[in-house]
Amino acid sequence: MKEEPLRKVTRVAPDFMESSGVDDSINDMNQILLWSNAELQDRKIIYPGMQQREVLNAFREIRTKIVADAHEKNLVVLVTSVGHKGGASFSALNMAAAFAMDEGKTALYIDCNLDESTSDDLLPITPEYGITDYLANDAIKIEDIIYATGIHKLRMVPVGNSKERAVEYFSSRRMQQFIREVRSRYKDRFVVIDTPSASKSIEARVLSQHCDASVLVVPSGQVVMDQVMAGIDALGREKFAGLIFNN
Amino acid sequence: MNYYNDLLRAAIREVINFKTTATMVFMAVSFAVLALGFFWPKSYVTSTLLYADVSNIIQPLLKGRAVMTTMDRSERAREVIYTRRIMEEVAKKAQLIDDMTTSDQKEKIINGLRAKTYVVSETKNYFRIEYENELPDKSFEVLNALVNVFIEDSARQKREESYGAFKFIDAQVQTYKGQLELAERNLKDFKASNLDGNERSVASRISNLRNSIGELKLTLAEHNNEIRQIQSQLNDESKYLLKKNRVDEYKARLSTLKAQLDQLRLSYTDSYPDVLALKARVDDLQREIVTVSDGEAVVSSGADNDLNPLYDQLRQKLAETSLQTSTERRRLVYLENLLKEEFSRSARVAERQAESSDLTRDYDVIKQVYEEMLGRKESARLSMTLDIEGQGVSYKIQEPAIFPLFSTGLQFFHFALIGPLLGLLVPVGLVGAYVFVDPRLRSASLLASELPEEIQILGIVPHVNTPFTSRLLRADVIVLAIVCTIGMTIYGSLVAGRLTGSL
Repeated sequence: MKEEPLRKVTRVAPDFMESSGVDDSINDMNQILLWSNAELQDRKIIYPGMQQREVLNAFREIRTKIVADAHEKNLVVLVTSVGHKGGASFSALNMAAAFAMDEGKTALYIDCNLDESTSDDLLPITPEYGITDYLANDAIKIEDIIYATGIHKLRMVPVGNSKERAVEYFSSRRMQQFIREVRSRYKDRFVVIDTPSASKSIEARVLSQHCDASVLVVPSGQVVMDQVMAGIDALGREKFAGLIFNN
Repeated sequence: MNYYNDLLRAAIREVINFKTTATMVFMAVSFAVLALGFFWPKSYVTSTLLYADVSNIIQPLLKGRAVMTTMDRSERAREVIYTRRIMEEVAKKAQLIDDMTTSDQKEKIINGLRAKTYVVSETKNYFRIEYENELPDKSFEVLNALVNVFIEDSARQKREESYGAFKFIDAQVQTYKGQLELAERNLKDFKASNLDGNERSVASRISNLRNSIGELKLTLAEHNNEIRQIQSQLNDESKYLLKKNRVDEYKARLSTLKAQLDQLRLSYTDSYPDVLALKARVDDLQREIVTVSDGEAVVSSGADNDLNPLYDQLRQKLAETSLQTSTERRRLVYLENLLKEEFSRSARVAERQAESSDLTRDYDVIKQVYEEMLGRKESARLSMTLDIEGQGVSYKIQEPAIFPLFSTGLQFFHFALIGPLLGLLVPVGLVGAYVFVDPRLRSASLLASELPEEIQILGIVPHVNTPFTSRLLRADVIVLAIVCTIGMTIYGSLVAGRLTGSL
């Protein structure tokens, strides 16, 4: 695991996290300085004890419903939105945060949202490589593109710089291998893939083949019913987990 | 319910999203309403309450003689007030028109006046006249002019009415006077031609005559009786006189014999034959006298034996009574003739009585009416004088017009109050309508109801207010608040300026 690109951090996570003994591999993860509640609040990321409890509860509910469908196995969830700026990144990140909050579970947030990357917000420096770089360049290893975030047990894969042929990369065998790899790396790991709007691009559709479940974010006041139905159809109904109505 | 809750929340969100626009709309609407308030035409209403005196001048004058039609005075006043005559006079008096005004303008002004004048019935006989104008002075002036003109007009009309009433009654009086004179003349003529007197006098006369005749008959019967008695008495008296004459004769012979006897006795004794013969003769004579007088005391009169006063008296009385009787007989005939005449007169009188009562009745009735009319004429003259003096005006100002200090209808401060309120309502309403009409999904419950059954909603994520956004919001809000404050300060000073009258 690569530590250099991360800023120098001191470990602030409570001790019981290591001594919980759920899984040593979790504790092996390179824990870095966690964000304070205010920082999480600024980034619109949920945390236990946040003031707007209904937001936290909403994501907890979403997590519960998805986990209920997952049958105890590691789950890859694709999150996309109906319209442009539909809040897919926000929902995906918070879903990942909600998974990470769960006792003994870790989450990986893969940013495949070529249009609106959230990597800059989550990482203190511009990451060297991302998922597209990894897919484009065989020399890059998985460890090179997984970064720690300020959220406990939540790692992320930034989008990277080689966005031009992203669709082809996403449908490649290497992508498939990558997903398999990150899924099976830890027990009880949840992978959340953030993709561009389903109605605007085909990335979501391409990526959905690597997923166990897909979630469609419906932004309030931006789309009509037909667009929602089109988005569902684009993702394919067999893997479709449900809608998230984002106010 | 959920759906509307969602919509409401969405609308609030949209207002926050469009806060700049909303603020601008708020300002624009507020100031637009204020501007409207500035230029809103004011209207000042002056009103006065009039009382219609229902008493009519002819009514009391002709009470019981003629029936008057009653009408709603306020209704009539309305009709009178709206007439062109009154309106034109008011316009002249209020100096809205003068001689220079063209007839077109005049028509327009009068119509305007009429349209802004309201006559409202309050209760029976009370009604309110109102006039509305943009200027309080004008409103007051015109209403006063209107009331004055109306009252003067009605007073003049009343004067005319009472004068008419007087003229009418006067004419009636004249007519009745002529009729009365005619009746009087007729009656006079009748009386002059009718000398028979009336029934009563005839009746009394007849009874008088009857009495006289009765009495006369009684007297006549008495007198006849008297005559009969006198005649019988006269008869008796003549027998007596005859006897008396014989007695007197015998007595005279007796006295002669007695004197012879006395003479003889002087020379002869009683036994002398001559004396005896004489004596026997005297005795015979004495016996004869007794026989003749027949026991009656025949008074032997003195020397005037032939002059019997009783007999004469009786004869005189008989003559008198006979004369009287004949006079009375003539009188009776005369009286009976009179009675007959009187009977015929009575028939005549009865005949003419009908005519007389006819004429008298005519005369009486006409006289009565005439006298009454004469009295009424005097009342009418009095009423007319009252009206001319202005005492009997039939419309009274119950509540005089008060100068209108405040305009009616929407005031400036109403606009000043409504402005910001409307300014708030308009953007909210617009956003509400937008949210309601916009087909884009804003309600999770609507989405859930429209989704196919197999697709579930995993969750509804509320809007996240991060401190960062709220800070940003606050900065925005501060700017908008400053704008609002400045705007409202300007607004307030404009309102204050207008209300204090400096604007």
